[in-house]
Amino acid sequence: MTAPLAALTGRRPLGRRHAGLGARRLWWGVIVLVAIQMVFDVGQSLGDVDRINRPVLVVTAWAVLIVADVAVMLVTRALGDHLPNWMFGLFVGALATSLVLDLAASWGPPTQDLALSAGRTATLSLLLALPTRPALELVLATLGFTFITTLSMALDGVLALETLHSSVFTLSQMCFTVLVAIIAMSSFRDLVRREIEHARTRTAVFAPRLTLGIDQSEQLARLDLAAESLLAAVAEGRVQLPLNEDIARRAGTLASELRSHLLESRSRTWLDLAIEESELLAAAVRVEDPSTSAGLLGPRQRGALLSALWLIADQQPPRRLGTPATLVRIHRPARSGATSAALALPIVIQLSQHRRSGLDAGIWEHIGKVGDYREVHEQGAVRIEVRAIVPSGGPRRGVAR
Amino acid sequence: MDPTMLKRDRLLRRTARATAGAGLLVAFLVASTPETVGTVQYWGALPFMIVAGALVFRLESVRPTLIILGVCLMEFAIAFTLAAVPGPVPASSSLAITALLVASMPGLSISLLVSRAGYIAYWALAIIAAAVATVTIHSSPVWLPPTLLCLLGWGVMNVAGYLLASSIPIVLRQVDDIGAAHQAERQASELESQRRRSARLLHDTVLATITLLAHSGVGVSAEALRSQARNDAHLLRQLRLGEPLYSLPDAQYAPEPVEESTIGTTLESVRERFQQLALDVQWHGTTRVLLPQRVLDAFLFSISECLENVRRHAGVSNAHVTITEDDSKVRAMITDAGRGFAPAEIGEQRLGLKESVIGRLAEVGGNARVFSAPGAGTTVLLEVPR
Repeated sequence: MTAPLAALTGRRPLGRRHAGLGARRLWWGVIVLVAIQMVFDVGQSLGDVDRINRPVLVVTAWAVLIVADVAVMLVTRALGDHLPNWMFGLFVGALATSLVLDLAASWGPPTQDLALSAGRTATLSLLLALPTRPALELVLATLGFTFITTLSMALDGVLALETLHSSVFTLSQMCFTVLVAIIAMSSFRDLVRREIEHARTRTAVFAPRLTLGIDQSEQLARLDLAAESLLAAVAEGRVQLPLNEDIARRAGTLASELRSHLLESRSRTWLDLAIEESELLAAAVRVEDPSTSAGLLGPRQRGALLSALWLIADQQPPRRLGTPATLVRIHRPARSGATSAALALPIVIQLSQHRRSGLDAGIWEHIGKVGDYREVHEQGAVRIEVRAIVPSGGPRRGVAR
Repeated sequence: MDPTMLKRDRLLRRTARATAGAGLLVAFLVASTPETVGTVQYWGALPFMIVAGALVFRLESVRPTLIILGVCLMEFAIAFTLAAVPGPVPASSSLAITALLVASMPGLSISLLVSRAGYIAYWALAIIAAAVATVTIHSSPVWLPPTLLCLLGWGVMNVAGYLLASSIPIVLRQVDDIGAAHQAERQASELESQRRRSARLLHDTVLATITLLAHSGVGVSAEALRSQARNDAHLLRQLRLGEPLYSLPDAQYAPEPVEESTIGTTLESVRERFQQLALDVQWHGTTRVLLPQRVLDAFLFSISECLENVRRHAGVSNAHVTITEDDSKVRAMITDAGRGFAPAEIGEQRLGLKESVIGRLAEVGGNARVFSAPGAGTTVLLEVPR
């Protein structure tokens, strides 16, 4: 779909739904972690309070921090695991304030080398936004906090050689605790996302031989709606005739999209859909199936082929750009024997980023369920040639689960 | 092995690797500060650190239990080497050992937290680590004594590991539900798209009207265009609301709910439409032809598209349509005496005709041919099977 039309029909990409699945439980873990750190650091502040240059600043830092943490927890809960941009900005700002107050409290001799207290908890508190915000934002905020602290230490003379170990320990602890938690959460999210995409693509297996797909179908409905509102606007005289250039151009885009949509969308098979509806699979696998023969495969063969492709995609290093490293080419079926009522469907899977030894054994098990296969090795790439037997009695209908 | 468990284990191992690696890195950085760097203890511990790092890196590909055991041995060795000084252990070495025993080692061991035996092994390691911490850490970075700090670290990691591991089966069950919902959504969408696509004639007239609008409606009376738009908007609304498609405010172009239709009445509607758009169409030949509904739709659409092209490009105000039939085919010949064009040089303007007419006819087994030359008018021959 062209970009202007996406704007015209107001369509958003699928696939980001359910992104926060399972995050709630992990969030409780984060809260416990922050609470433990807080107990430690409050203890630290209490122990240091008579020695600190400006104790009132430490108390203020704690007040700001506690208000920010409680607020963000309440807001996240109230908005259903959602934290708007401006609130996140406010939250990070409050945490940074708490950190700066804490640093300022012990600024200057003789207490400049006292350990951080509220500032350390403030950095860890960034994790409270972990279920609701992209990992990159939190990484940047963490690095920012670490940078502020390093700068303050450098200006205050704490980075002197004799106390360097303690500063390095504090800074690494600040930064690495948060980063490791972000890595864990990201792995968890990646896993959930992969599983959701897998579950979604699996349902494509039951599609009829040629189909339209949810995206396409939704898009047709949206195009119809856009056409309806344009026509209604003309009919009710809300726009002047002859149309001005802008609206005429929109009508032109709409007409050509609608036309191509009605003409082309019939030639899509379950495999095209499955790969298109999954960002992960689409980045790893490309299909060439001009005769739409993939639709001839039965549900069991389809399922096995899809599972094999998922395993192949799992083992590929993720690539955001460039063409997918795996190519599935499906040729026209041919009679498999003089008397047989079955057709032989040749499927070639070309893997350009794998070595034989690196392939999961499960892949071969699944491909075996699609049909007889053999492997060809050439120039460091592996090619799997599968011969799937399909009934010749017309396309198989989709089967409901 | 159950795929769910495999996924859980992989996630735990990935997290374990990150935690253990980070802890080891902190230990290395802290030990590399002036107080310790360059001492015999530092050089003695360095090889253990390198081996431990290499093992942590391999955690996901080799048997995890052996790796964990290996890394723990290496880290204990680092701790004892750094602490092997006469008198109290310097603060920098204490901090490095803390990073190992309180973060790196329990972080790594969370990948054990998948079975009862794993839990026992985890806490056995925790107790050994606490004992080593008691002996080797002489200045705790916090106000808690090293032994307690160590046990607390292992406790926190235990909670984290438990939450991660136990979330996976729950999430996978929810994903299953999502899959089932998606299946239902897909079936509904399949039905809906079939319904929309079967309203081909409707889409054809909508397309024709929008194409007119795209040319700003120039050359067409505003009233005619408005009434056309009103009908089409009404039809689309009915389609959207799931109402039957054959009731119209001022019926002109509704698909009849029958399998076979006569061509007569619908031809009339095409003629009327173009009359409104200031193109006079003369009809010749058969006026009653029986065709299957979808063939008829395609046929009428193609005639309309050709007439629309005449109206827009030929520069004349009238055209002729001749309809003939034999046993197997129905043909329509659309002729104008306009300016014509060289078919070999079909420009962007005419591509629309090629796509829409030829594509649409091909869908029902028909075809179209264009005969034209500059200055000599244009004839289009459309053919559909009966």
